[in-house]
Amino acid sequence: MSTLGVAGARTSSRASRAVSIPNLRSTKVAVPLIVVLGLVGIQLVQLLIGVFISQGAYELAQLKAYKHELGTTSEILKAEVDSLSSQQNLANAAQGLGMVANSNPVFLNVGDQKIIGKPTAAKANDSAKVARNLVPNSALVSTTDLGAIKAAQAAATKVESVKSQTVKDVANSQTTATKVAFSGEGLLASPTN
Amino acid sequence: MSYMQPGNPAKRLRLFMAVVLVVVLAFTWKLVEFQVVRAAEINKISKEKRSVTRTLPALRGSIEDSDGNVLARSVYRYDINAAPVNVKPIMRSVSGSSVEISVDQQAMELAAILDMTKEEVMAKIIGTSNYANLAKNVNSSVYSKLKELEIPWIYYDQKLARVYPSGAVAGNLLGFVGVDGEPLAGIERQYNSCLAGVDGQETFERGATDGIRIPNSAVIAQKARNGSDVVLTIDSDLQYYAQQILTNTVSKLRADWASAVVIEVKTGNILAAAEAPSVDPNATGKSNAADRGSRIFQASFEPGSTMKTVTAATVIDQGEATPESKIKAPYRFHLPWGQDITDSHFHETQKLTLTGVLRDSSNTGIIQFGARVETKTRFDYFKKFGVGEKTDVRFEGETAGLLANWQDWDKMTDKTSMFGQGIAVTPIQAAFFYQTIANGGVRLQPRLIEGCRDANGNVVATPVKPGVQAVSSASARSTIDMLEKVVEQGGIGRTAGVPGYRVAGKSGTAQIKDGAGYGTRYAISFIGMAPAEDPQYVVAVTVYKPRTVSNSIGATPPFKSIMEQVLLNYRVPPATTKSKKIDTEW
Repeated sequence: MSTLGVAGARTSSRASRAVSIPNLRSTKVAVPLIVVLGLVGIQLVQLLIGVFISQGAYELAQLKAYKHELGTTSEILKAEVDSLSSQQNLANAAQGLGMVANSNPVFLNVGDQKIIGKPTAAKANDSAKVARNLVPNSALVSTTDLGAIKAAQAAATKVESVKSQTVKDVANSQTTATKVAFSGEGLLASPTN
Repeated sequence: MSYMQPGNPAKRLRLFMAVVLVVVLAFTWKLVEFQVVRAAEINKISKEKRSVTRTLPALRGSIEDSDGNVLARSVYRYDINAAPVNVKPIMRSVSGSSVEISVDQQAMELAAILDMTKEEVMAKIIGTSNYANLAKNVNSSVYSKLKELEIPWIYYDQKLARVYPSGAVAGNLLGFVGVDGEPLAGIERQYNSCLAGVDGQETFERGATDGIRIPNSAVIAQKARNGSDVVLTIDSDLQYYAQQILTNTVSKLRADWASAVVIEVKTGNILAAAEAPSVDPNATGKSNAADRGSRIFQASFEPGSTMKTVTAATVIDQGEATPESKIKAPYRFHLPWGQDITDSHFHETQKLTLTGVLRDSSNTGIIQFGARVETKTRFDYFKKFGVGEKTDVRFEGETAGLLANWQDWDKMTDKTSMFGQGIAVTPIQAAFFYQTIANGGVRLQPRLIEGCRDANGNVVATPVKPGVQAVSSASARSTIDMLEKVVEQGGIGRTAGVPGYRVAGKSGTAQIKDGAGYGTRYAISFIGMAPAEDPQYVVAVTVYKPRTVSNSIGATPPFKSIMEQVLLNYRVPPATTKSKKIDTEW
């Protein structure tokens, strides 16, 4: 320190030129500090990236397991759809619901509005038609719930009969009285004539 | 009190430094050894411990019908295994509290899902081994239910399997695969190069403790390439309908088997190739080995009177007769060398036209017309109609039938071949005799496969080859006109008619070779086309060895039912014209 002071004094006495002297001590400290901090920073970033990637690996493993689960569900549903839409199930369901194939097709020619063919009702005892399924299918995992369909049909029939009864009541009341307004599900929406 | 002697600090320092140096050198040497000298070897051992090589399974392609309905596809199945050594009670959370589930209870739960008894499960899980198989090939539904039990000593081996969602619909064509996934029969085997994928392989590293894959460590050596799909010309709904009808027919007539082929006349596409008994590829073990192939391509027999159509078309095409050409048809026809040919039923000598000969299916009549054409020419016509030649379908085990060289025909074969004896054909060949007539005399090749479709939807279509002009268009039309009379007037033919439509066809009641002679049971058939004014579809029905009938009256009801369904299915409007007037007698 004293050497510098002497040199500085000597210079200032020799000429009026001012020279800035770098702070060598602070430079000596700063550079390694920056390097060390940089290295530490890089290590920290690397560590963080590592943590995130590792976290991602676990998440990926979870997602893969989830994908497998969804694949399994998809397979189960596919098998059910296959079964329900198979010819064997449809034939059995149609028979169960009393459906009969009609072998007398009738075509309507829209161009000339002609009917081609003779409309004939399907015969319930058509010997040439095979109603029940005869073609095996061991891949069937589920079949149509005929009981549920019949119950729904019965419920629909009931609603229809209520509707028709309501319509009759309306007609009767309209003959004796003025317009009657109805509202509510299953009833006439408007009394407008 | 004693004090340590100061000694020589410099000497101690040197000694200390020497020791440090030795230690540093030792470490450095080991470091160099591990990091440089044995680096590769150690890395390899380390990686081997962490790395896992896994096969990336390729999915086998699907088989679909012409409307895209899947007839065969790949699914996952599971083998359920246990490690008996680890079997013990487990804790399970039930309504928020932890409950101990005993081994007995676990066995009961497993048994209920696996359709086993508790005792059967217990017998397998008790022991000290590390492996016991509980069930094989269970479906995803069962697997899912088992997973929900969360039993830690149960392990699952996933594998690919094949499922046929429509069961036996087209089962005889589809074939099947073995337990190892190897295709064993039918289209599965024939088109394996299209259906089979190529398995891939990947290697990755995983953590030693948790088994989790180490990020960015995967090296895919080869990507899995899934198989392509095979698209058939078959309409699976029509196929099902035809199989229903045939199964009923076989049962009613107590026949050995029956087949029905539906052909689209203008393309040669096979819309249905039905058989009974059929095979459910999901459970091939439930059917007889003989019923697992396709007799439509693999069985040949003498066709009988359905062959008279070919002979009549030949004679007309050669200009040797017209539909109204006349002959006298006796019950018995004496041949110059002493043998006789008779009709199937006794009758007085009839004055028939060529149309009448077909209507009554007269053997004695057709040999008189056929004799107007030289043997070699008739042989050449047989070849043009496809007799004795495998079709381009080249179905597995397909037979070419039997057509000996005309020079090798004996005098009797020369005659009997005109009404379908002495030659043998497959049901598909017989159907295409009529496709030829229906298509203006042009025989097309049958098409069973539309093509092979890759993952991007690109289809490599089965080529449609130009047909063979077997007879002229005019001769074909004349033949159709004659065949209409068979259905309008024939004793058996009438039962094949579809109300409202013009149908043309011919019956056949063929004796079946039994050793040197013929047996007592027949192959009965009816092959026809509709609408006769412009034929679009051919239906060919064969019933083999029926026990309750001995003539083709047994084949017309299934023909009629299937033809009705075909016309309905493809929205063919009923006829608005009438058949041509042709005399059948004189």
